[in-house]
Amino acid sequence: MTDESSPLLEAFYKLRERQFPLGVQEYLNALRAISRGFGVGSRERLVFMCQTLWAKSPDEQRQFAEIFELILPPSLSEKELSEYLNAVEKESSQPEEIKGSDQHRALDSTPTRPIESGKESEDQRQPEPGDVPSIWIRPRLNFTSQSSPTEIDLPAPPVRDWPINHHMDFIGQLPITRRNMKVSWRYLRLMRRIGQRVELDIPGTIEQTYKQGVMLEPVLMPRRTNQAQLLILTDEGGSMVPFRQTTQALLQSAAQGRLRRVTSYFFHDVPLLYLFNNPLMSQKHAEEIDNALGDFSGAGVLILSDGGAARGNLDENRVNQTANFLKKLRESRLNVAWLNPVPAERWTGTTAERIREECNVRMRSYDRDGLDAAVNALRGRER
Amino acid sequence: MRYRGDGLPPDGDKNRVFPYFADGGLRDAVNMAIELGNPLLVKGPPGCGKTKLAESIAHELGVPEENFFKWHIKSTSRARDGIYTIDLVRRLQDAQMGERRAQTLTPYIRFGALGQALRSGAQSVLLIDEIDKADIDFPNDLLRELDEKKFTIEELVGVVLTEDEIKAGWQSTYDAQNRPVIIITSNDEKELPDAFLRRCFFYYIDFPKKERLLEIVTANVLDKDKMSPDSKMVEHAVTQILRFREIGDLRKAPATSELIDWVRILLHWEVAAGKLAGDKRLIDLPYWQALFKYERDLSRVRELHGEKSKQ
Repeated sequence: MTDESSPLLEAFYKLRERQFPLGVQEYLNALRAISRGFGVGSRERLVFMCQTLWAKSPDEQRQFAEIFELILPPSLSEKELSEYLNAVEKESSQPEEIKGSDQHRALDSTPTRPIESGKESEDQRQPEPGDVPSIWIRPRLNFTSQSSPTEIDLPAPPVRDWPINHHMDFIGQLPITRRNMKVSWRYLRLMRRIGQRVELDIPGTIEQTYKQGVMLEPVLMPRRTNQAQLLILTDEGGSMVPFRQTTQALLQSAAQGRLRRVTSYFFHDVPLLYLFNNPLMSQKHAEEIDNALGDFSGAGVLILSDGGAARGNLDENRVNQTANFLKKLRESRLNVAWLNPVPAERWTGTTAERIREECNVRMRSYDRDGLDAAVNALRGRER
Repeated sequence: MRYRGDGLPPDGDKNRVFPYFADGGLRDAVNMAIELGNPLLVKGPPGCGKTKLAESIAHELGVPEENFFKWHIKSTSRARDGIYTIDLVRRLQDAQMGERRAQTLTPYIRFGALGQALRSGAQSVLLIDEIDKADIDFPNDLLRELDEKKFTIEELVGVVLTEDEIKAGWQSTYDAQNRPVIIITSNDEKELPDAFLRRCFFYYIDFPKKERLLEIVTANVLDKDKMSPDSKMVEHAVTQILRFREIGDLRKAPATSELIDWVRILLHWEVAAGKLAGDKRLIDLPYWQALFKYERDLSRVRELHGEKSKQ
């Protein structure tokens, strides 16, 4: 199938590239919707229909709208637009060939890398005004430097044609996607039976029946729930400014994870006397460190900081101050993990490297593996 | 079967308008869910009418009260409870007392909201309210039922039913004759599993714009003489609410539901429209207590207004 015959499929592949968990069923749903008259007739209706079917949060809806802007720029002429919409409608009238795969959900679970044919056609297409290949921005944003040579070799886009208010959305390009974060946090578990007695305690019930001679009432016990607590300390300002979106996404996903408690504090470079409960870090947000750590005994502490790696110099003073702070954390019986948004190969010779060596802290770079390792450390497990 | 979002019942009787207005987008999303049979997941700030949407759909499709099922999720809710529960303790007690009915299982089976919706032969509407309150695996445990629109009472599989039971309609697997329209709401307190999200359609209900807000309030509130309220008063009240919402950084900014409550109070005590006009400080507004839910929000608003009055 070429793109001309199935423009919707192109959008579908683009979304899968961006880790949208879409499967064959979602694509077929869209075709079914079109064949019943939804999303037909105008660009807006088509975008809306796909958003409703394929995006599951306002954030994803926004991403989707942007992807669609690349595939079907709003600046298209009436004729081009109607050709496109006709092609979409035609696409929906021939879903028979894929119907057989209706039940195959195996394909659905993990989005794979983009299908090659989709990419080639992109190369062949004439760049249009406002048409910025999404692939182009990827190499610049890839913190983990996994970009393959083919992606870099792409022709440069017509930069001057970018709309002035072009909204750059990098959420889908974070080193760790939100979905991956969600999965990683699930491993931060400390299951305890606490709370309302709602679950049947079978051994207890048998024991009681045996004592009473007759079963009067079942014995109930609390359900096992996650009692893991997490304290996140984020370095703010200065060299951490470029990473703000990265760290905020992590804070947000942790807060939505099913942990008993997630508390967030902020500091600049090294916490000396105070931690701040707001990224603005004004005086009224300050709390003494001992107070802030007060009732967190046994919890996990995640530090998000470049540890001086972004500046690239070596500051012995900062190493010592950090060592003191980490000592304090350990004295409060906290499990410490450190995620550094600067890639590990750039730590060499910097304060960050010295902190890692001197303070015996599990500092990892901010990527999927790093987060998994950090979660392990937060649970008090070595890796 | 089409949802129009105008609040009118199927016969178009203007005397039975359900005061709920759906935007074009929401209307399309609901119709897609009805047509394709997928559940519609609705998110949005609290108090924006997520729960009321299901009610309005039931009203417009002419689904009677007994076929409109509501499942309000609690933190202890289990997926199977929404399908069916079996009171085994009662059966055991009956058996110990030598009761005859304890011989069979069916007298102890109770259907939950989802079970009833799938069992009901007629067109039904099912509301699964605040699904994010439940345990992490809860939504995943519902996948089959939501997908195939059928469920099995595992305990009845392979059991030979008595003639009376068959007559009463008992069977081990129920297959929905009419796919229920399923509306699921979430306050986004917790993330939902991907496998579950994939099966839902999604719509985000945003806080309404001023004109729509005026309509909503006017339709929901009647004054003492059962007449529409004074439009000046409603407009002032709406303006005040929007002013508070502009502040931002509130834990719970007053939303549609607070606004409606407030206007009801104002009408009840017959407050003059003039008392609501202009850039008033919060404590100068009548019955301001109806608007905020957190001490922190209250002190923030007061702080801001305090500064204003000094200037």
